[in-house]
Amino acid sequence: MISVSSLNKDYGGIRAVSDLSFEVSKGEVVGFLGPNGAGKTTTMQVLTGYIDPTSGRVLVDGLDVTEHPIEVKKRMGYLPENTPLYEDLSVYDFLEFAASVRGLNQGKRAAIREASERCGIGDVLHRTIGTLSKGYRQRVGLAQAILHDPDILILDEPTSGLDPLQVGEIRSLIRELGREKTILLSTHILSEVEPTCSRVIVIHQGSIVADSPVGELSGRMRGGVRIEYRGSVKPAAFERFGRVEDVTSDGGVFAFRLIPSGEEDVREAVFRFCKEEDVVLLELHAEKKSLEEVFRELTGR
Amino acid sequence: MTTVSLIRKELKHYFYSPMAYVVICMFLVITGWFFANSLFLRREAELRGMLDVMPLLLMFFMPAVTMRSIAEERKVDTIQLVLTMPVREWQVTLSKYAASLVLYAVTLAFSLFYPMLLYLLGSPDTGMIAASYLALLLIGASYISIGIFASTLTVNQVVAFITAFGIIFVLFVLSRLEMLFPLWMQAWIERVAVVPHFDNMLRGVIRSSDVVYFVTLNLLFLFLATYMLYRRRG
Repeated sequence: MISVSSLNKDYGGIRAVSDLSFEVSKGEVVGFLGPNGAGKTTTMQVLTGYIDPTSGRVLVDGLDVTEHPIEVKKRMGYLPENTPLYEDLSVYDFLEFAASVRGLNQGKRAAIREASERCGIGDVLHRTIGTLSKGYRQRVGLAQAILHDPDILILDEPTSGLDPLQVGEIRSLIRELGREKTILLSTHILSEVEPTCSRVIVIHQGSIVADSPVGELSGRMRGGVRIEYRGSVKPAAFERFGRVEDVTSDGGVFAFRLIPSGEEDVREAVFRFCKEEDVVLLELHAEKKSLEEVFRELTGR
Repeated sequence: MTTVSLIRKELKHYFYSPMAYVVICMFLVITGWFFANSLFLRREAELRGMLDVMPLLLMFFMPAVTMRSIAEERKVDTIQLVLTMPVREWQVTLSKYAASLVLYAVTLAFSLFYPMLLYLLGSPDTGMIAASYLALLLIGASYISIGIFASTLTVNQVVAFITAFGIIFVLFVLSRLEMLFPLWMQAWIERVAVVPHFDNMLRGVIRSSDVVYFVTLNLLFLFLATYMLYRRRG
């Protein structure tokens, strides 16, 4: 559905995106993960035809974005970063504008009703956008993106700046949309990708450093296991599961971090071991690596 | 159709906010003062007093009306929203231009009150009034296109205002500085400067060269504005 090959984009001599290639097939929900300034927004802007690539090709449904920008834009819905909206228009006027620019003449009312229902903005339709809360603004942005029922949705940081409740709501909306549409969404938070996406593309300094199913990446994310126990067994006994470090002891209570030797989750085995040895487990906690650590690993630095 | 939708959105920005009403009122107050001046002080039933200050007055009004157009869209990034819809760059500049022109035309329509007053007091030359209003429309439209071009250069509205004002000022003042230039340049300046063309039309003579001048000015700056918007694609 989307095919990007050797995409390069320079900004005044600085390479923002370098030699990017990936494909997104129909129905996939792909997370575009990277720290700020990694080139996520730039890539999305090229994909949506907002800017031209310096070199390389972007095909959407087999159509080249630079050669057929209008055709491509008709098939896409886009939520730009920070959700820019016309503050002085009412939600209805704004959606009406988007619908008529998109050429929905007959079905305009129906499309607005449908999109605003799905995004839960039916009760604010006649309010001025400038007076809306961040959560509502995000929904208005999403409603605008799905108004013309596009096959492809490009969402640039759809949950940034929202409170946890709103994040949950937007996520479930994206999950629901993902059942019928191809979605590419960007984020700099790893936990964001897990609940919504089936695949993750990790991008760093303009290049792809990982492209894998979400499960694989979460495996990589697994850090050490924090263990605290009371018992007669010495921490060294746990070396059968992996490396033992940061050992502290305080009157028969031992605490340490276990770095598993394999990829699999060792917590269950640790628990069984403790039961057999009659050790009282006080804490068994799988630590997650920060995104920075994963990047360092992926980029080999 | 797309362009019409864009124009409708621009008109909403003007007419759903105090903008349009402030512009119309201020314009009428200021032109009214100049009109009344010549009417009561000089006891002349003509528009001359008002028309003579128009190139100068519009030099302030038009940059103010247009400074927001593209600069604001770029500043809050709504330009991204518009240009990722099936819209071309020229449709954006054209819709901004058309909407400002509509606002200006509405303002001018209100000012028709003054010539109507003249018909009550005397018998003014209808042809001259018609030509004058055409001249007003053309000079205003030219200033609008310059204002829109200036608005594509920056995200700062104040900078856009001053830039537009500067460009218009140069075109305006050229004819007054004519004598400072060598003779061979004077004929050329006569053609580029705004005021001689405007004055020609105020005399009630509509010459194609004057109309062509204003139309060219409009097209030139609309083209430049579209080019600037296109250049952003990098």
